[in-house]
Amino acid sequence: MSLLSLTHRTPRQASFGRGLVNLLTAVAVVAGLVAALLAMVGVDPAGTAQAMWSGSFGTLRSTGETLIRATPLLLIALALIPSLRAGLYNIGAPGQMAFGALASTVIALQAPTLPSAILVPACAIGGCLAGALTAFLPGLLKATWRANEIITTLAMNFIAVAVLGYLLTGVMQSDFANLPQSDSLPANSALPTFIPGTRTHIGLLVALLAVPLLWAADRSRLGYRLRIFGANPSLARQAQIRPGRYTIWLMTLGGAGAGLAGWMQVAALDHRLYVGIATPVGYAALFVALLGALHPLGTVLAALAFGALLHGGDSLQVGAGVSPEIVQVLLGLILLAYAIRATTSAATGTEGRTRSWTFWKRS
Amino acid sequence: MHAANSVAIVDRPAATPAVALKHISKTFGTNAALTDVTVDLRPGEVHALVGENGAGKSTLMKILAGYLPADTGELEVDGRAAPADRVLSGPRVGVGFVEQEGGLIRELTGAENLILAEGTGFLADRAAAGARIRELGNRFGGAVDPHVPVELLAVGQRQRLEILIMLARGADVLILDEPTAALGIEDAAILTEIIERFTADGGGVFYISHKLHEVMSIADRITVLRGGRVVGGHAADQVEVAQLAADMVGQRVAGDENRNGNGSDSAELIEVALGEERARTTASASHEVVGTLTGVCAPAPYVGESALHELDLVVRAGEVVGVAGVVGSGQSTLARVLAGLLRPSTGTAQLPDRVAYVPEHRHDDAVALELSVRDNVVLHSHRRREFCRGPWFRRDRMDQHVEEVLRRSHVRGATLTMPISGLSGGNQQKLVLGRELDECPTLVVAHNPFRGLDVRAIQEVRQAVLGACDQGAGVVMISPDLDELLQLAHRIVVLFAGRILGEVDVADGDLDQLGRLMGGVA
Ligand SMILES: Nc1ncnc2c1ncn2[C@@H]1O[C@H](COP(=O)(O)OP(=O)(O)OP(=O)(O)O)[C@@H](O)[C@H]1O
Ligand SMILES: [Mg+2]
Repeated sequence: MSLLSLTHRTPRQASFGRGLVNLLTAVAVVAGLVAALLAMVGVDPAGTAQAMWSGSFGTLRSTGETLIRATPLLLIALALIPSLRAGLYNIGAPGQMAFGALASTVIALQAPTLPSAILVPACAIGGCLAGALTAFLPGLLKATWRANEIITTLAMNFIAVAVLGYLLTGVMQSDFANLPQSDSLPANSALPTFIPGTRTHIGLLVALLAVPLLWAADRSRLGYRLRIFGANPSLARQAQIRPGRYTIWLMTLGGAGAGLAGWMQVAALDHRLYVGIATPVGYAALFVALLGALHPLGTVLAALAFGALLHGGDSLQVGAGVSPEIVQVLLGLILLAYAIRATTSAATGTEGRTRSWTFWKRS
Repeated sequence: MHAANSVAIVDRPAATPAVALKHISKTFGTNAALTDVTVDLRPGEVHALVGENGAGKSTLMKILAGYLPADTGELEVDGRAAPADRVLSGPRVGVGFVEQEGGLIRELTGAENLILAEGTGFLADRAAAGARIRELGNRFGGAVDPHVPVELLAVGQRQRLEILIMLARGADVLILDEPTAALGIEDAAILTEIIERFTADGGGVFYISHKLHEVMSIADRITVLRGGRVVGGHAADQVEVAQLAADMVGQRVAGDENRNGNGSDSAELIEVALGEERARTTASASHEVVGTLTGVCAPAPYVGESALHELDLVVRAGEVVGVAGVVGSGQSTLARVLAGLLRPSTGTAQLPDRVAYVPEHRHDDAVALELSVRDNVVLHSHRRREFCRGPWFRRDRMDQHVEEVLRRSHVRGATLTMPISGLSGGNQQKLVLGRELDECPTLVVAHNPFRGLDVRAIQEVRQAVLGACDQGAGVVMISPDLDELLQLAHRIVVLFAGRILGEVDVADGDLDQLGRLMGGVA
């Protein structure tokens, strides 16, 4: 591939089977690489794998932790699938998630005495709306002035971090901490858990609900129009499918998912707001969607795998004496291998059309 | 099929063929696209492949280029065996394939496309790549600016650029798949020039076309395919157009055809092929106006195309208005304005809510290649109340409707769920026409509607267009091919540099006047 241009198959209608093959190849190659790396620094690869596995699925509790990690990834990824299929790259999930968490926190702290049955949905709706609004703005800019959504959503991420930093070192900072973080959320804003002995909360069910919804959407009029819009914008205009409107809706949908994930993160797990609440999850979710080949079931698998790696990594230090950063290396390599695999199979042109663009020309 | 259809291979002692395809077979699912096809190409010759839509011409060439694997059969390049049973990671070395729809990356310039194709991008030198394209352009007679993004070039220039890029990569076999389908006479003449110089240089050309007269004049040998088999081989100087047409269509024996013959017999089709057939609606144009442009100015959608200046046009129910003119005189701009896709910068356009529009670039504007046949057919009709239950589709009713549209527009080889890219080029075009005429439009804008259609399909489409006229639609038909227009239109307006220079009534038309107008003499 050249530096001057990226040949890139838009992942739009990528098939599930092909995606799975890509993913498995990538994982196999990377596993080999990482094993070699570990052996080089004198660590037993098999032992590490063992530790990883028992760290993420060894006990009921650790399985629960893996699911908790997977939940926001899954929710955001599923919400991003429609826009990714349409070729819209909303990379603003971190910002949208952060604003969602912020809104939920504010609501919970302002009305701590409300009964749980009211407070929990209120926080959810607040988070969802905040995330949606955060994504609505880039959508609007794209629809009216064709502002590149990659850049605008990225900008929103920085704004979110700045806003959180400002609030959490100012009006929202907890009186009991020197760190930039908020007060603890009231107990009645917490999400109920549903597997005894784990922290797995009902957010997982909310995320899984999106799977049949996506499946059904494919068979609906809206889903059809989105498909046309994603496959050929010129054709969409002829069918009086207005690109602007769908752009805004798709972006907003992604934001709503991210906002909900922010709510879950703060209300179910961390119980307080801090600046970095969304950063790793928000970006990882985009990759989960891509690794899942933009297919709902593939995405479930990818989210589970990511969740397991993230959580398993944390238990490595204890289990095998390996720095948990090895997981970052692992994830990075998987993405790289996947990208290479996806690009080369697109370049051989066995299916679909290869679209490409230069970065600076695309808007 | 009939083994009795003996094939007269013309024997001319010659050097080793540049390429030879032997006993090639290929099936898609249950659909036998090619059965035991043997053809070869000698250096310095133009070998034409003709046949109806779906006969297997493009498939055969894709196998040669290494884009598709053959099921069985052998391939020789320069006398040496080459793999035919697998997909190559790029085009086969020495073979340049200019596909039906053009294969350049639109956002890149010609030089960048060359660099990308050669895979030397890391040390890309655009100036050098551009210079090579320029040099070849001068040598073969078709200069194109290699530093302009492809999407800004007109159709003819894009195609020339693609050929030059193939030549720059060292192709000595060129495959041209319906190269003149969208070209005006001038561009076609330049193409002929390039082909002549290329063959004089020792290159060989596989040439696919539905225009038999053109094939006769440009080819040395002609092979006829029908239903995936070779049914005729001729030297171009020893065959009549009528013979070719008869080969293509075949004898109508009951049960012999998988195409349900609809009464139009071969003689009539041959007439169409010969360009003698005149079809015209019986309904005379009424006074009801279906579309009006008044003083319309509109910017051109791409470089090499004219903007519209102060254009007036009235389309009435029941008439076919032909739009003639040198390619690039504003036809694309006019089509987009009429289709409601381009808003005039000044002036007014009074158009119906939905205009049936057959765009000029099929893959860019008329179909979504990776979506299913069903999705492509219901583009407009998916709004119908009867197909919906709440927000969901009623698949059963919708599928029934899709089948009906496919049947009515004579699309062959289609299943509802296959991606439309699995249809042959001509069948895709028929699908688009069928879809657009389906919703009883009052205004039809058809830009090169016969692009890529075989004689029978042209006949069928004519009938469909005239049928729409009888139902009260007004039709605007844009074509670089004057004969096509003369055969269908009631009156022809001539575009020149974005203005309508004049109008000729076809019935008592003055053809000289038409010629003068096209040359820009009012
Ligand atoms: N990718 C594919 N999947 C399934 N069927 C295919 C595919 N490509 C071609 N076919 C089928 O193979 C047959 C031959 O198609 P091909 O494109 O070679 O026809 P053609 O002679 O080029 O016709 P046209 O003049 O319309 O371009 C058709 O029946 C077509 O439907
Ligand atoms: Mg073809």
